[in-house]
Amino acid sequence: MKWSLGKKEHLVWAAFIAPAFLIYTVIFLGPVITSFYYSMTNWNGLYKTMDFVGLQNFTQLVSDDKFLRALRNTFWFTLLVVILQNGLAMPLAMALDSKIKSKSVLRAAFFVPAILSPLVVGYTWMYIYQPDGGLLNELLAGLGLGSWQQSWLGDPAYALYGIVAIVLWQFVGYSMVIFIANLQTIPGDYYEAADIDGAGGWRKFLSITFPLMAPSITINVVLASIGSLKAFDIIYVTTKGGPYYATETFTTLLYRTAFTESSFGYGTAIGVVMFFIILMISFIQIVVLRRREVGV
Amino acid sequence: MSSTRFGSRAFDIFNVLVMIAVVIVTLGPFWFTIVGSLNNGLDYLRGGVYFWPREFTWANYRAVLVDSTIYQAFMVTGFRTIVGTLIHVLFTSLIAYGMSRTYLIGRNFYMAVIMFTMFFGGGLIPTYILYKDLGLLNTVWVYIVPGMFSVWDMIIIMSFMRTIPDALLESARMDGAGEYRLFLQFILPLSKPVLAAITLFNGVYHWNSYFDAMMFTTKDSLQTVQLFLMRMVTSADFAQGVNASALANIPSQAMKISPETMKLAMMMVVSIPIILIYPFLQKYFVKGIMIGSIKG
Repeated sequence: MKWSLGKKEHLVWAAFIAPAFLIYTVIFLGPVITSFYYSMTNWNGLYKTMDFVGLQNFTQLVSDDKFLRALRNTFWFTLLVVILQNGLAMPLAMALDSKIKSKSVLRAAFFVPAILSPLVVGYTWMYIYQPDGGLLNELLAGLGLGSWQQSWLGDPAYALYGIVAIVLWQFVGYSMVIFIANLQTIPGDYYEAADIDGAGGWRKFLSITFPLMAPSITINVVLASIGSLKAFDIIYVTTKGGPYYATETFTTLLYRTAFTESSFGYGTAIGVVMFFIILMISFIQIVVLRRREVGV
Repeated sequence: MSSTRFGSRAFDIFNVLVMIAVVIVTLGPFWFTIVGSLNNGLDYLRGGVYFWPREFTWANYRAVLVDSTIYQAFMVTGFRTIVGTLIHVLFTSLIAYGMSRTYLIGRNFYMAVIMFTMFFGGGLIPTYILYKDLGLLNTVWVYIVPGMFSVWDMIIIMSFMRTIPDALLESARMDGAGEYRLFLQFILPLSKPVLAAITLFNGVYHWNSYFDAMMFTTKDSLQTVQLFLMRMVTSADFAQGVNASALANIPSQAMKISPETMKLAMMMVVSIPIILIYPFLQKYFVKGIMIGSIKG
């Protein structure tokens, strides 16, 4: 029997939706729409006056070295994080899903960094990376590798990789927990059947584990990509985009352009481009990765 | 046969060694901070304190905990964590319930509008201008209002609520229960697991926030603990000021503290509450993420 719905019920449901929808429209949607407008002005953020300049900000972006460098850095950073984070989390998840004792303690330990504040994480690693007396350099000296010592975040050649390492430290455990949840949905019978057919460990991984892990791979790749493309906190806290723009990404460039250089219009144009790039990349990833997914 | 057993034994040992290494890498950075924060501040400056405190003392913790500005910052963070989280969960579950009823008129329209910003906030600059126009700048509400609703959390709660059978609700309706009673008496209690997850995550989000405090407030009375930590670490003058006030508050400890070790103690103080609720959090984490990602 289908319950017949009167006008009154619909009004009541509308009342459930209204408060949050209103907040959403004003706080979230409003700025998205105005950002399209500001991106076509030359507003500096200080004065009331601004001129409408059409697509000039966008055409300027195409030949702006700072922007192109930030674009390169962002993509390289994202690629490294997505590959390494998933590449490290997957074997860890498989190890912790298997017979190791005290695995729940280990799981918990690996997840802790993900919930710490970005400030605490950033500062902890700044102490570790310090050129003089930092833990990393002291450890290298202790191992007789004194010549490997670096100013890890101070040297343009290493700074971006230093930040990638921090991100991995913080989020490998997060991806791992998602992989583990997926591993636990794979029925044990499949492996038993494969054992009877004489399949080895690698073969079982390729034929059973990997295909059935597709849903969590989709989630982890998309989450890591969006997270890295939008990464701001950890870069802002540690290097602010330096040294010599070596760690400048979309978000730090946007922040600097708008608030240090007072080019609100131009900064917003960077934000709009970033929005479309993230949208496009996530969309492509979801379409491609979802196609791989099979039901259990 | 015995060679396979030897092989699998060697594999186990290798596995355990890798796990130990990963645990050290994960918790090591944290340990280093704890050790520093428990060491005599003046002695710490001589360097070389990494693995165990050389001159053990609680003085750094006493120093940061007697400070009245830090106390004030804790009140602000506590307020936003408790009030902000409760309001967030209430508003988001209201809209999630409305949206979980698939026969709601206009549902697809609402959904399309909401998904529009799934991957993107409005951008910092237009958001700043909006908050200014709304009079949110430099008020405690700038911490609460924008956080009342989140798309991701709505999707998670909504997917969970969809699993509540319609038949159950219909029979309650037959007994004359109105929609609001239904929501309070059936929907909310049945959604407890997912609401617990969202509450914990939103609580962590509020506790760890610094960016909104940094961007949208200038008053010391609205400082959050994370912003306090940030100023302590990034501004030498600020750290000196905190140190001086600690010296005035607890003169007997003067020879045991330094700005440097007080920073480390402050990093621990802002992390400890998060670590204490962590065991509860971990239990719900996977559930929340998995529910959200299946539908997302």
